[in-house]
Amino acid sequence: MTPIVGVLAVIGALLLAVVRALVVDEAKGRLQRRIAADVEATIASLPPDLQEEWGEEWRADLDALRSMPFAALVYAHNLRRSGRTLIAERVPSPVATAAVPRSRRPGLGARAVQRMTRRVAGRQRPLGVVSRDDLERVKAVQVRIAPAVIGAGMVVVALDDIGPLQIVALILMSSGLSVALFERRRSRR
Amino acid sequence: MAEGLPRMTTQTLAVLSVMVGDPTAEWYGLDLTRRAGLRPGTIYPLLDRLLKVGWMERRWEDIDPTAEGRPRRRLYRLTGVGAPAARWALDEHLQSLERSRAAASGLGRPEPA
Repeated sequence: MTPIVGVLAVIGALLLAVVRALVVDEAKGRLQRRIAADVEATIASLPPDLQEEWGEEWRADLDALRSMPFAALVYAHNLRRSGRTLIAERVPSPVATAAVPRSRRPGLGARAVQRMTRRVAGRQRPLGVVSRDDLERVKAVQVRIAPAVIGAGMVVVALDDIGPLQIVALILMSSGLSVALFERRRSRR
Repeated sequence: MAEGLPRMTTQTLAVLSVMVGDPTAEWYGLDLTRRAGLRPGTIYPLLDRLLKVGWMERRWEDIDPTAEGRPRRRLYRLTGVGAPAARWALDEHLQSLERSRAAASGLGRPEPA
């Protein structure tokens, strides 16, 4: 038996080494792809003129870090901040320019800044906030269907022993009951 | 075209000290990062500032990427204006450190009786 065990152990060790190498290679490959995607995203976040100026160089420098995944990770991370700095130092901030009164010329004082701010805020798209009317409509629908849900749930529960379907029916029933009770209490006030 | 002095941070001085060591040599960004002891990916805004004030110039490497097996790199070098300006900036910084050190050691000395 001993020679067979020895052979099996050797085969097992070889298989383990192969699997480990495959897993490590896969992990390295995924990491490199992820890092490259991060760098591409940073380049894409730049304005077109800066993309043209720096993009190829950053890709080339990343290529130089191919054999050093940790350094490449740090590189990709720091590149994001460098990108933001390049943008900030290239484009003067409009807010800073407008807020600093250069002279007594109209349009550059605090009131002008407030007007500009209100104008910008007015142009912004509204957030996806649900209105009170929408909420009331949803509640009205829930109240109408609650008795039907309760009834259907009772039928399903009565049909057979407790199973997944019965559990779902119980959940729907309880939510329908709670909505109906809540609305009843609200209408009594 | 020179616009004035660039911001003299520790990182800027580190990069300039590397380049002043061999003013005619050319380095690519990552190489300068390593030699100056900076973190990878942080050098580009610094290079941009030095380019804007005319202390540095850059060019693309003249290689065949297929033959070399890697993409071409961008090489940086000090300009005719940049080399003496960088030396001056480093000397100023060293003198300022000396002055601070002298002032600090002067404060630490006990008063004569």
